[in-house]
Parts: sequence; structure tokens; C-alpha cells
Amino acid sequence: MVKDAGINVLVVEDNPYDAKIITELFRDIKSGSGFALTFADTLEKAGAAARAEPPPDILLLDLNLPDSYGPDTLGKASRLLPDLPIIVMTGFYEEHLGLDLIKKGAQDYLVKGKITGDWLAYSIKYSVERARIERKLKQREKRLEDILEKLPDGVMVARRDGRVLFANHGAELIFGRKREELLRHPFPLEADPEKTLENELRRLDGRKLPLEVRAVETIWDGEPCRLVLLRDLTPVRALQRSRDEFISMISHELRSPLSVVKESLDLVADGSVGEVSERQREILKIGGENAVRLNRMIDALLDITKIEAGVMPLDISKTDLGLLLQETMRDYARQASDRLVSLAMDLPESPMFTYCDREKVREVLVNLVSNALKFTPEAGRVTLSLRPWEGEALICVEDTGPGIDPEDIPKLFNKFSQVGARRPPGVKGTGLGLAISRGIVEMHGGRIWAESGQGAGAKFFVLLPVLPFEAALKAVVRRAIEHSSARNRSFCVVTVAPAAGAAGGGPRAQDLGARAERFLKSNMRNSHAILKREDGSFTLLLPDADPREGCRACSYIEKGLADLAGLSQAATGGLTRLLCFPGDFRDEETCLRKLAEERSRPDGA
Amino acid sequence: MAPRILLIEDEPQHILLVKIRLEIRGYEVEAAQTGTAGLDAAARLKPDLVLLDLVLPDMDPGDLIRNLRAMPASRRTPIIAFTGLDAFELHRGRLGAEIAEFVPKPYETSELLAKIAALIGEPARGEGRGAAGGL
Repeated sequence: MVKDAGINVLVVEDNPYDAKIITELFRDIKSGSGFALTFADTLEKAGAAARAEPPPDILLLDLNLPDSYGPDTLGKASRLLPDLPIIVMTGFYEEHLGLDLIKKGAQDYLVKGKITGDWLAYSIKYSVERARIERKLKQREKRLEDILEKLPDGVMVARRDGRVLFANHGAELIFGRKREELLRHPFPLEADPEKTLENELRRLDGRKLPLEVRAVETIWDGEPCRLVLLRDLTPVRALQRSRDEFISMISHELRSPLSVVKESLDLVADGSVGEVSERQREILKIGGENAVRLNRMIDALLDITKIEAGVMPLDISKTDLGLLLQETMRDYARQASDRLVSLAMDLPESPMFTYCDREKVREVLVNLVSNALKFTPEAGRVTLSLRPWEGEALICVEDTGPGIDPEDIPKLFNKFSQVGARRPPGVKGTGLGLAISRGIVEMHGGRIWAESGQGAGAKFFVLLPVLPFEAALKAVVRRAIEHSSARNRSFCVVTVAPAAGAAGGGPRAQDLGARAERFLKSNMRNSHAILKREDGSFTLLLPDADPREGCRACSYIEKGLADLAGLSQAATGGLTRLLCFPGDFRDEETCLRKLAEERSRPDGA
Repeated sequence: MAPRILLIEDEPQHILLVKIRLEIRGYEVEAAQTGTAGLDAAARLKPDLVLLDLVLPDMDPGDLIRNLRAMPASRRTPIIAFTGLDAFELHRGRLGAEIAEFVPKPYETSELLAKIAALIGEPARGEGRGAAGGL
């Protein structure tokens, strides 16, 4: 809208006759007092006049001036007076000129003799308003451009055929190439709108850069394109590395002195270096027990670190969950009766099996049951139950203890949560049990939670998916792919079928199977996961192994199996199969499909 | 003659404790505090068993084991490795195949003794020294 103060018009016109026409045109305007005119007869003087107060709102420009002649005058004027809207006025109408002037930024093109004052007034008002809107748009665009340019992340737009249409400064920094070069070459990275990818960029200068690549579909100038966001993961990698190093450091640096403490106490306590009294022995025993306890805390700390880093090894086999509950209850029967707490069990009629890491799930149960016992007073009861729940297995450990404050429940599963502050005297834990339990349950694709009413006991639930072998395998392969592609490393999937080597089957094959399992578990301890199928075959995931290392592992296993069975290595030659990431597969579906194909192939093929 | 054990370990206090424990049992124990000293001792001593700490100041354990295997005196000598490292870290760099047993720190003495006895047998009675040796 036009301001009340009126519009200041700067007229650049060297011909006094034309200047007079213009003045008269303004006089004709019905509300002519809304305009204040200033005149300049050269571009140079116009520049000076534009710096005067009040500044002009619009320029009426004649193209033929003493210091500039022809259509170029418009360009010169707009460079001299940026942001000032310009209306070009000439003496004669020239068809080809008009459109050209508008394209070059003129707000309007008018012919002096052919317009009325009112038309001129409209044109000026509309031009001023249009210019104001344009300025705003430009400002907004500049702001967005500024954000895009200052962003450390790379932002690029690429057409479906790979042609790059846009690249910001962040992209220049990441690729180490100028924008013009980026626009000349096809987009060089894999990008998937479905998921975030991690990739290693090999730059022209030889540097390797870990990158996170995210993509979304977009429309750019009417064309379907991909907007790609690139993030340099170097700092993230450095953090991951220092965490991995921390794991080793803490293990060695804490355990070595602990070992010396324990052995010193043991040497004295067992009388190896002189006679000890009963009382002395008792005191030394307390020291020894606390050394063991400290070691358990180191174990727990390492476990939680490994869970968080996604490198906790898994040992998966078919597990009878009801049996696991029974075993756990049996292990705690003595402790419960000592504390005068009764243990109860509620199992479904038919057994529930799933493929899981039995010992880790047992650890969860042990955590929950020992917690329940700790907090349950004399004459109380702890109940373990298992039941099917929407196709999954729901385990519940319920106690008749004091219960948990509702506001504490969300914090229960955090590391070192202080929720147990009201625990009975003498009850000590690592503060990590529930955090580790949550990690283990989530590694299995399950959920753990607690429910409690104040003073009404606590219920801890574990919901585990009931998985057949293939589904469990798929989950661990997916975990390995995520872990390896994040670090840009390879890994191998090795399938071992030891039973196939023993002719006939029967007890001899069973015994061989058990020995093969022991051999694999003690010799392939660095496996990311080891899965045992019901038919006695094993699938191992070897982290950081390239195809060559995978082959070496296979022949090592075949030799070991041959030794076990007392056969030559030729006899166990076909017992292992190898698939490598990312060479043989890039997603878990392909991996499973190829494994299934291998299985259906006759031996030795 | 009592079985000879070479202990390669950089922590003198741990050396002292292991020595006491094994000598009571009747083993003969020599200790070296660096990988280099350990290789010298192995060549000189022709030990029946090497007890090795996997973290040494001067040598990567893989190199040390390769060097031990390259010498006639210790080509086939069984190796037991002490380690404060996590089981997860073990077997890196193909250590696994050459190491007969791992003893994670802190260890149960009875386990260490059982592993040693399984590999090289127990010394005959009467060979032990030290306070409880004759009990």
C-alpha cells in the first residue's frame, strides 16, 4: 500500500520538452498531490539525487541520456540504483523493446505521448507495490539461501538420471570439489528415500570420508527429483572408536590389579604361606568376596557398554521358555526358603519354544527373580508366569513387596537408577541389572516393563517374540548389517553342518554334534552371533571378516571338525558354506534367500 | 625333574604371587617382564609351558607368539594366556589357534592349576617347596 506521505518520483529526462510533458501529466492526476517529483538530466545526477533525503520510491527513466544511450540505460540504472523500481518512458512505442525491458527488470514500459495522468499514477502505484513484494521475496530467498550455505551438511538436488541440479557449500566441503564441478558430474552416491544409508566417500584428494546419506523425493522446477542430505560422520566415528577402546582399557586396567588383590587374599586365606586362624580366614574371605563382586560390576559395565555399542555377541538356539522359568525357580528355591518367601509358578499347558540366546534370557529372569526376592518380606510370595500373548510370549515376575512409586517406574531401566534407595539393608546390586535386562530383551526384539501400585507389590513383564529359526537369523543378520555398514566394514556368515559329515546318525552323530558345538563355541568366540538350528547345523556371523578371512575361518572349522571325527579334512571339505557382506548380499532378505538356496543344494555341489 | 614354567608378565606383584603359588605346587618357575626377555628365557630354558600375559609393554602378543613358535626351544610349547581383556576381544589377530587355554583375570586359582596340570601334568610329590608344600 502507498504510504500517506506520498510517493517520491525521480524523473531522469534530459529533454526539457519531455520533462514538461511529464510534469503536466502529473498535474492531470486527480489526486496529484500524492506524488513529489524530482528531476535529473543524466544518470550520474540521478545517482546523486537518489542519495538525497527523502529517497525516491521509483524511477521514471528515459533511455536516451547524455551519459547513456539506448536500451542499455536500464541495466546501468538498475546497477546504479539497486532495489529501486524503474518505469521506462520513451517517446515512441517500439513493440520489440517493451517485452525485452520487462525481462530485464523494468516494472513497466510507457510511451510519453500516449498515456493519461491517471494511467501513469496507477502504473507507478502498482510498480512500487510490486517492487516491495519482490524485495520481500528476495529477502526471504536470501535468508533461505544463507541457511543452506552456512549449513555444514551437504545439500544436493539430483534428477532421476543422476544429473545434479543444486549443491550447497556444505556439499563442496564434503566432496572437496567446486560447485560447478559437482553440477557437471552425475550424483556419485547411493541414496535411498526409504532409509538412511551410511557410505564411505573416496574423495579425489585421496581422503576417505564416512558419510550419512539421506534422501527425500521432491519436485524441482516441475521435475521429480531427489533432495539428498549428506552428513560427515567423522566425529561420530571417532566417538565410536574411543568407546570401543574404552571397553578394552577398562577390562585390562581394572581386572589386572583386581586379580592381584584376589590372589593375594586367596594365598593367605588357604594357608599356602603360613597358618591362618579361623577369624583371620573369615576376614580374608570378605575381602575375596568383594573382589569377586567388583569383578561382577566390571562385567556388568562391559555388558551394558557392549549392548549400547550393538556388539553384544548372541548365542541363539531353540529354547523352551517354560523350562527356563522352571530352572530359574529351582536355582532360587533355596534362597527363597531361607528368606521364608514362597515361590510359585504358572505355566501354559503346551510348551512355548522360541529361538533366543538362552543364557541371556536366563540372566534377565535371574535379575527379575533375585530383585523380587530382595524386596519381598518374610511370608511373601514371588510368582513366575508364562503365557501366550498375541502370538508372543509374555513372562511375568510378580512379588508381594512394597511396590514401586509410579513416578519411579520410567526410571527403573536406566543405568544406575537410584530407584532402589528404599531397598532393605544389606541388599546390594550393580545398579545395572535392569538396564542390562532391557538391553537383552530389546536385542531379541522384545519389550520389558514394570507395573506397580504403591504398597501392592511389583510386576515385571517381559514380552518376547516367538521366533522360528529363519526369523531369528534374519534379525541377527539385520543387526550385523546395520553395525557393519555403519562402520563400513565387512562380515561373513558361515554355515556349518557337522552332522552331515557323520554317516548314519544315531548316538555317534549326536556326540559329534555336541563336540562340534563345544569346538565352535570355544574357538569362534569372536563371533557376532552363533545360531544353532534344530537339525544340528550352525550359522556363525564373523564380524570384520572379509571373504579371505571368511575362507580361512571355514577351513579352520573344517580341519577342527575333521580332527574331532577322526577323519581326513577331505571328508569334512563340504561342511561349511560362506556368504560375505557386502559382496554376496546387501540386505537380510538376500542373505536368507541365498542361505536357503545353499541348503537345498545337494552336498558337494 | 620338576616341570619348568616360563611366566611372561610385566606386573612384578603378579609375578610374585604366581611364583609362590606354582612353586608350592612343585613347579619350577622363571619369570620375564618383557616380551624380549621372555624370548631369551624361552631359548635358554626350553620351558614345558609358557604362561603369558597378553598385554605387554614392549611387544604385541601376536608377534611374541609368532617369535616363540619360530624358535626350536618353544615351537610346540603349550601356551596359557592370562588376560584382563574381555572374551569378546580374544581371538583377534588369530591368537586363538596358538593358545591352549585362556585364563581370564581375575581367576580362580584352582582353575589355573587344573589347566596347567591338564597340559603338563603335576610334579611328583615331595618336589614342592614353601610353607604348605609338605602338608
